[in-house]
Amino acid sequence: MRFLVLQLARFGDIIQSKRLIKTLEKKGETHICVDASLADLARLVYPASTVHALPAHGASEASLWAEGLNILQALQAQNFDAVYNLNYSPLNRAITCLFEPEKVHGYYTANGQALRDPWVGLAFRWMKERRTSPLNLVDFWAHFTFNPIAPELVNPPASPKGQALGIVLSGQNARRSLEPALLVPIIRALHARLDCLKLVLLGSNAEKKLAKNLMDALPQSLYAQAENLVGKTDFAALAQALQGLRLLISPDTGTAHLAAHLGVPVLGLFCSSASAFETGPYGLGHYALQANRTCAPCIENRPCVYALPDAQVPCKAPFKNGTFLSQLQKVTSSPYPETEGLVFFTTSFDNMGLLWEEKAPEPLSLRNTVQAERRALLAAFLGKSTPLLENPALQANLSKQANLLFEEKDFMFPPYYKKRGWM
Amino acid sequence: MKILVVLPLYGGSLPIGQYCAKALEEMGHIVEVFQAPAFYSAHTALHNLRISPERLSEVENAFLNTISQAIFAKAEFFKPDLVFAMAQAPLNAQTLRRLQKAGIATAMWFVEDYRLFPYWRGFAPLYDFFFVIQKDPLLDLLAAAGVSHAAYMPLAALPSFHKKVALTEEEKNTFGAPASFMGAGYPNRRAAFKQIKAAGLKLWGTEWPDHAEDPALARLVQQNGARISAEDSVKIYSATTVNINLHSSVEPHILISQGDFVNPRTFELACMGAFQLVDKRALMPELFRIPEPDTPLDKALLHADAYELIPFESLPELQFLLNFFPRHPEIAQGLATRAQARVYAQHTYQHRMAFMLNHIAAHRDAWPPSAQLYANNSPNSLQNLPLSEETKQHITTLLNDNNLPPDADFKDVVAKIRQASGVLSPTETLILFIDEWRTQYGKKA
Repeated sequence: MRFLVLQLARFGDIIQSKRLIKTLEKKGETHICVDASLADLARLVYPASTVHALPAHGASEASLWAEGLNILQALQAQNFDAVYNLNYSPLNRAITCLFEPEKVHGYYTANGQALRDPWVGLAFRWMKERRTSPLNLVDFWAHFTFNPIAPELVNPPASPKGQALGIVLSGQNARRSLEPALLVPIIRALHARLDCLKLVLLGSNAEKKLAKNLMDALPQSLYAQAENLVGKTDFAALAQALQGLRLLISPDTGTAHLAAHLGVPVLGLFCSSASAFETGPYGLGHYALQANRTCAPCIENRPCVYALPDAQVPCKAPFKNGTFLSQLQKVTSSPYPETEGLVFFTTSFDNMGLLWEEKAPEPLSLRNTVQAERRALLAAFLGKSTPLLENPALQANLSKQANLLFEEKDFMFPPYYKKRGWM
Repeated sequence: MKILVVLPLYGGSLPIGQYCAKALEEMGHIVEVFQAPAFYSAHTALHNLRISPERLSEVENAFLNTISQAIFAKAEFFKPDLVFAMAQAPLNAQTLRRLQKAGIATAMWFVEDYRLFPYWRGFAPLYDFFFVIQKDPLLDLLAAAGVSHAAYMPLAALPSFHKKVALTEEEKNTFGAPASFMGAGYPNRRAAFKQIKAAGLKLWGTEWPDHAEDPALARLVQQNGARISAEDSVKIYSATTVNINLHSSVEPHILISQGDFVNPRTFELACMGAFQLVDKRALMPELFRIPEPDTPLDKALLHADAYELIPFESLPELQFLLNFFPRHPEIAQGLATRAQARVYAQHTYQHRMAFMLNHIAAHRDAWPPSAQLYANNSPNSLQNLPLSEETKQHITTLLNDNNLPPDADFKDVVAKIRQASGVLSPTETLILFIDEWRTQYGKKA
């Protein structure tokens, strides 16, 4: 069997395709088509797969004309048994025209008509209520294929790899990351709690200015221990730097996912614009602090609903309150920190994949319950029975969730899991 | 130009719509066809519900409304310059108004007898352009009904389809005959063919009487009165010596209806160079050279070289001609050849479509709204891009295969590729990819 995964999205997305790709690698020969700028990363993370580097983003049109034809010819010549197109993007959809529509999973085109699998349609519906989003992105993509590998087999359980504290700066969207004034107290608290000997700043060229600002804001004792690698690492060097960390502190970034891939513990700091449940690092032993606001999750490239500048958005405020900082030392151990305005998450697995469970302030809150019910319904949609669906006490809630998740047409055609087949 | 052709669910205007779409394509336009016939089986299924007529009517209206919405969605996506509908196209008033609001020109070719299809009064004013196959008094009636741009546009033939085909011996036996009639068994035709005597006469098509009703006529009916495909019609015309073409009438006592419009079969048979005996129509003299009124038939036959058709005006005349031409095949051949030349020169669907587009151009402001048809040496042509020799070669093949000029505009090439079905080649895929890439990154060639 020969498979292709079309993943033309960003750094983090390439790594978050891992459960799917590892599943396919087990089943047969696997190829991955990625943006040329991320081909080295794909080769690093998936040495057993063949990587096709397509100049898609940030390329010139001339390079598309010059290189595109050979790449597309090579893809078509492979005569893939199945193609997994992971991105809702017209660029990806154009490429799927190379293949027979019945072989393409996810988003595809048949006779000029853009189509998507019912599984993807379901995701679009649950994304309308992202606050109770039932599935991590890694698992959403993994279930493009039948019977993906166990979630435990995706990434190694996280464990300290060294004595350095890593900090990722994300400049791609300022609303996603905390400013130096907020970060420094967090760094100080964790550095002391974990007995770190070193501080490593990580990021791309785009974050150089941010890194300088953070360095300038560090107290002298930390400054002396800090190594600023921002803009200085390629993917291999970045992976090497991550291998020496006790803990990585990061907003939702590709580097955090690379750390999870390597089994490096991550503490995700999530403001409103990202949800740990959706895109938190995959695997056991990671943590997340999520701003607990009714406006979350929001769309980061749209203005904040409070019309405030990025530095003043209200979802950043809980990260500077005194309780949070005093409790922060408990991050990596029980009892879990109690934090006002923040939810503390740790990870576990179930039959669908990764769970980000709220440990504080309210274990098994309503949000977790709704998510559990939705996950059970998703499992059924994929052909997996779940005891929760038999619970008489939950039938009313399950009906309500089913009405939100499914469309009338889902009842009018054969079950999706039969239609999708067993590949 | 980008044209969305809307076909009817079924019926006589369906093949004409298909010929128009083909002609527009052959003229180099980018044509999308709304395949309403694909929905016909669902419509038929509604009629088997066994529910009250009131409920059936509601369900049927909802169904046709859905089809109409699908046409609008198609127009929204394809962004045509013109929506060209054939008679009975499932476009409801709401959709026509929405198309008008969206600035998309609409035209209908009403290839029906207005006297028998009175529905035109409600719908004709909703179209920007309304083309008809009859003249007076229809054009005046349309003006009175508030139709601002109506025009006479007679039927035609499609030379790439209406041509003689080589047949196997078996096919010659099946489809061939000394004389044939192809068409539905309208009352006037039933009455006429009961009286006609022609050796080996075959009747083709639907709605003919069965053995119980009229055993003599039923014996002449081929394939148990099954519907004959357009492809098989061409075989029948090719294999028949004398093709009888009697215009239809619902009046059983008026065998030769002496109506005005000329039916498609007249043009199709002529286009194929197949000999036909056709009844005279009021609008025939301006379409084909025929004998002057009141010219005796024997005199007309003496000067047959001057004519393209020698139509009959009565059943005895038809019978006389049926007896005459088998003995004078050279005269039949001469008529057929001249009629064919006339169709090639003036009566193809390409001619009609050119007429229609010229008419729209003359009456509509800012037309055409999008690019001219393949503007020569477009700055956005693929030719102007710095491509490798290999890529150029692939693109040249692609343009040739799609009947596109070498300097076709990039957007036109993209539109053409989007119409393709099945798996695309790497070159086609690359062009679609780059089109999407330009949309995403705002780059222009």
